[in-house]
Amino acid sequence: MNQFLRISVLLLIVSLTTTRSSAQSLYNAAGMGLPVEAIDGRARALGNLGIGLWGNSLLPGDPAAAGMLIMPSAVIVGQPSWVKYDHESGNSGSIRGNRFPLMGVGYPIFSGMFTLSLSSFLDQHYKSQRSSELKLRGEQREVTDLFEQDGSIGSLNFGYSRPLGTSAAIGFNFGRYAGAILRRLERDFSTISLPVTLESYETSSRWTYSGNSLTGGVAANVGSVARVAASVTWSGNLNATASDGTRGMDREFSLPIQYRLGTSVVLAPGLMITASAIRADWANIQGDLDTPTAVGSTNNIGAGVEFSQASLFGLTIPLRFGYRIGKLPFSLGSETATERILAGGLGLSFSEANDIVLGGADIAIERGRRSDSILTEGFWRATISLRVSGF
Amino acid sequence: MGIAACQEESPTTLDANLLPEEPITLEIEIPWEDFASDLEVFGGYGAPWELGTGVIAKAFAGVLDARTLARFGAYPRVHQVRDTTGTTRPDSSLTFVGGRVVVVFDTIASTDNGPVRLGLGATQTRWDNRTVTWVTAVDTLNDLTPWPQPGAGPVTLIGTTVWDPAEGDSAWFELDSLQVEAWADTADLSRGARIESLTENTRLQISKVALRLDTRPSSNPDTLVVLTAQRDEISFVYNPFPEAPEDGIRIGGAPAWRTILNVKMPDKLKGPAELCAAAGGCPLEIEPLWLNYAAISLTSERGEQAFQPTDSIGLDLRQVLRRDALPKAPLGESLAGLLGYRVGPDAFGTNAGTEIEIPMTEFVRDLLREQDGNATPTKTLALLSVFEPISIAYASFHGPGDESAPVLKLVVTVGRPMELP
Repeated sequence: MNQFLRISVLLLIVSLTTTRSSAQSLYNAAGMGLPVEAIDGRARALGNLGIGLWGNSLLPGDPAAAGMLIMPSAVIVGQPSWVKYDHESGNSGSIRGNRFPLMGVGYPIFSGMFTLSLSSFLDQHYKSQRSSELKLRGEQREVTDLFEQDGSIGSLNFGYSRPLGTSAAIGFNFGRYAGAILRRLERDFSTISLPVTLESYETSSRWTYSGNSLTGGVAANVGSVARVAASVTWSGNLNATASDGTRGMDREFSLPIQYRLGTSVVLAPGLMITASAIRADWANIQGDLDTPTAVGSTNNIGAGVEFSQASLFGLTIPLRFGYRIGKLPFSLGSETATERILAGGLGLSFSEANDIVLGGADIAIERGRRSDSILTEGFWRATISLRVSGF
Repeated sequence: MGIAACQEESPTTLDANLLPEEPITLEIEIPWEDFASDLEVFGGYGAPWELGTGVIAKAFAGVLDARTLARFGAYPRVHQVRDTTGTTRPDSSLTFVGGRVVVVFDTIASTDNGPVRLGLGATQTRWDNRTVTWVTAVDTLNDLTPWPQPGAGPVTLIGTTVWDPAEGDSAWFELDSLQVEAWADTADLSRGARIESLTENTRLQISKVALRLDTRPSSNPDTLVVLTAQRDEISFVYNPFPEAPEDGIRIGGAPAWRTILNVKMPDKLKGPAELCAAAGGCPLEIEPLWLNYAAISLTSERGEQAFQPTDSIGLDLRQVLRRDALPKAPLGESLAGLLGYRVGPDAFGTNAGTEIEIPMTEFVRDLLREQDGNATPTKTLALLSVFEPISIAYASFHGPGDESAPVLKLVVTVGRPMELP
């Protein structure tokens, strides 16, 4: 127990002292942003969407899986990425950043597992700029408008899961959406002197997000060869409340019901395959958006294979490969944006007792591509999750 | 931790559609009566001696006469001299057999290009360098002594000379040993040189006056050594002293002029229409951060010809911290920076009517920040030259009550309310 607490506290400190999460895509600028899935390194490497994975996992989208944990667990996920983009305007470049999509702990209580997690939901950070011409003192002068949107939406989830017999479990999560968004516009006059340089114009607006969600799920093991899991997330409206001094209005956004289904099958000792799917119809949010945005349904599927008995230098190091394909809810162009990702990864066990991993890491490397009619992004993304278990 | 080591880069797109609606930037001109009031011109700041230079004029522009007064310090008592044996040693038995007063002119600040006849005289009346004027030799506490003759007279004429600017920037007057002897007594407060112009319609600025002494050392009487007596004091007197303008703005001069005015921002703006549309309607209160630029715009005018600037003047703008204490009110920090806003002399001559803007954006922002309800506070500003005094000449601008009255020029940017996507 003491060891678990120490490690959990250490993970929390690490998460709080590292760099803040930041943007990783220009699709953050589309609609309400880019979804950020709260899944760990193992699921990433397997192309899994965060449900139906054989073994121990603490994922908000698979609340029943926590019911199959037998001891306190904690997980933290870090995710650096490197992105290159090409815009149809000819604008191209690269960006890189980090984020922490998931931190969670589970603790057994009342014959089940109580879970608490902080997960990312939508990333909205981006910058933009434009040049304009003004007539000042009878002459056309060029000014630059610099815009920055800094915001993200996350969810604080409280959950409870419990086993049903020896091979099944149910669970639920109550989620509270939280986050804020700051939109700041600056008009830069540094190129104009009348006879001194003009002061910049700056304005900003800030909103805080709130809302509720409820996720319910079931998971069942079919003997010792397969696991099947399903979950549904219902969300109330996402409320954006303007801060004092913000000239913008309060807003509400409809969030879709998310359906998840996943399975893992052990084909042979040390060989497992997994497949998962998620569906969410974001169509209702279109009426809530002021900016014309292409909105679609996210029908994502993923599949992967794990060789859990692979070894390297005498150590058992599970090797994982996966592929996933799906659609993004918001696009910059007129067509729905798609995302394809090829992934690989491995697991590391730092400490084990009775075949239970007490401390370990899962690492995934993904090579992906997002594109719509005007923007294409190619990215490398690493996901590193640290997990600890034990009393 | 490796993740923390990665450098963050924000995605920046050039897609203008992803920006909020463009803000509107407009120029607004606020007339004098809507932003300023209570203009007053005060003179008498500083004194000519503070310039460390001199001015001479004779009927310049038909009216201005000016004379320069200078005093020299103690003569050198010891000098290293090579004696008849070729050995260099200090000689403290120096005999001053003559000398000359050398006058160096500031050719840029002077008005004449042709030869000017100059006169040098020795003053006969006790005079005080700091308080001397055309009519008073001394004007200190409990001591008001007029000149027997206005214009620092009478003097003992020493000599005349001609300065031709084409031949150089300096002129000199020869002195005999008696005059050198007379100026050697530093306890004599009546000693001094008065330099004047004898050519009409001239105004010259003297940048330097020096006394060169012809010295015969005792250790080598066949040799003539030229030594310099440092100039101790210099000032100038002039007549007539200009009257304060009734409506105009005057800055500079020696003693210097300042123009004081009260400034406030209009309570509300009622236009232009584009601004009202962007801000969601008028009348409109300007927010401090909407203001990108504010400047008081002055229109230069030709002042009295006699005091026309011949060199650029640095204009300064400072807040008057207590108007009720004028003319000795304390001033705030400069709003125009260290060197002020420099204006060339042509703006007060051939290019009279030039608009001069003195930026004061932060000052106006502060006025708006201190807005109490619907009214902005009134603050007092002083328009002055960066250095006081700077020259006998001063800058003149149109004042209120005239179509070229000062205006407040603003550049304002107003954004539309920023909404979520």
